[in-house]
Amino acid sequence: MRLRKEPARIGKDLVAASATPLLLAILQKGPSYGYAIIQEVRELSGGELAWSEGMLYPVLHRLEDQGLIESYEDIGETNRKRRYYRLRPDGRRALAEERRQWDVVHAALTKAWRTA
Amino acid sequence: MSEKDVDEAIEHYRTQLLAEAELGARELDEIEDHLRTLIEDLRATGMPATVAVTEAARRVGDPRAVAREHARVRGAFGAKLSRLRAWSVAALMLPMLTMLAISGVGYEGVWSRSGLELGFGLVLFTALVARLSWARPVLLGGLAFYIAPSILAAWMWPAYNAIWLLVPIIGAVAFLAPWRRGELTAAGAALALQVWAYAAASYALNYQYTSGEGSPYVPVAPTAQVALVAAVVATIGGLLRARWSAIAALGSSLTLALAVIELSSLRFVFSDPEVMRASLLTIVASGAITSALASILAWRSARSLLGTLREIAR
Repeated sequence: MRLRKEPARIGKDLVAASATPLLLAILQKGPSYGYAIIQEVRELSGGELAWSEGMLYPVLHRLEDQGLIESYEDIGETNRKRRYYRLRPDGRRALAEERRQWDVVHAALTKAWRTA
Repeated sequence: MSEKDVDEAIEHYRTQLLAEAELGARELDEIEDHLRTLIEDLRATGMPATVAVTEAARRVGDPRAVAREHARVRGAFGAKLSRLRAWSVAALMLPMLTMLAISGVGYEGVWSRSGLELGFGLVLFTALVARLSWARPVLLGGLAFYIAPSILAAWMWPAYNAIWLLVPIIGAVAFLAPWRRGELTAAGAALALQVWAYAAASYALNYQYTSGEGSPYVPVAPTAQVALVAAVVATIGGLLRARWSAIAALGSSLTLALAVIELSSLRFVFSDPEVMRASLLTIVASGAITSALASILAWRSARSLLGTLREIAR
């Protein structure tokens, strides 16, 4: 019997590099909170992007310090106080730039693989 | 496993996080909410509470690693210094504060610029030991500035023994310097640059003249007094992350530039007068440049027009 080798998950560096555009893109759809963001990333990537859930918050805080997003407290559906994040105008601009850069990388890779 | 046991397990996770780094209530509450929501969702799938708690803790991550990452990223002005680095800088500050107390306050009195600077120094010393995130950039800017004047003093007046001041300054700057990318935020960099400008204005005011025996000493560059006040205002605004800080910083930059023009009339009678003159003008002009840069960074990193006191206690 031959065992089918599971494809490796996305590498740590790529996960880290894609964190900012993913978070900004998710928050562009509307305010959200950490747990919901993790769920959405999992859904969007079909479970391929494995984020260490506790590491999400430092990334959100860094984006907040950079003025790309802002946070506020509200009462969640569980009746607990919960911190929500939403995109700021600078975040929208940063997302547009991230998107442009990823499009360039994507286009370059597509061409490179087509000719390989 | 009862609800009380779940609460205790979450409390234990919080304690582990706190043991590793000084996380604020905001960070802890956020992680706790995540853990609780995850445990609830896992239990809703039929998972026993004990397994759900273990699985949730595993998915959130090793508390030591999570705490370290938070401590590295968090802080409006940059990463917290480790205890070793903070206490090393504090130890190196002691001879500087002692020297300021003896030669500055001892000579000018308590109610003087030296007295005020000694007071600031003691506040900074306390903030550094408490590892407040703003203490690092403020000290970095202030101490980094004094490297050049101390080298100049050591060269011009070897008898002054400025080398004994230079060694702790360079040592402290090495401990404070952001060796990794992103260790200082834009707000932190703005603070460091603004304090550099304050030090430049203070340095410019050291050059005074008198019209005769018994006459009061007058600064060669009186505009530096305005620059000094503007730099203090900009630094306070920077600590509050207020947008008006950028305007004060711009004022400090422009008045320091005027102070450079005023100082350019100075003629030195020591050896190498042109080197001395060029050094003095460059050192003061550096303050005009850092203040202009601080103005841009303060504007971009401001939280709001009026700022907030929230960041100061972090």
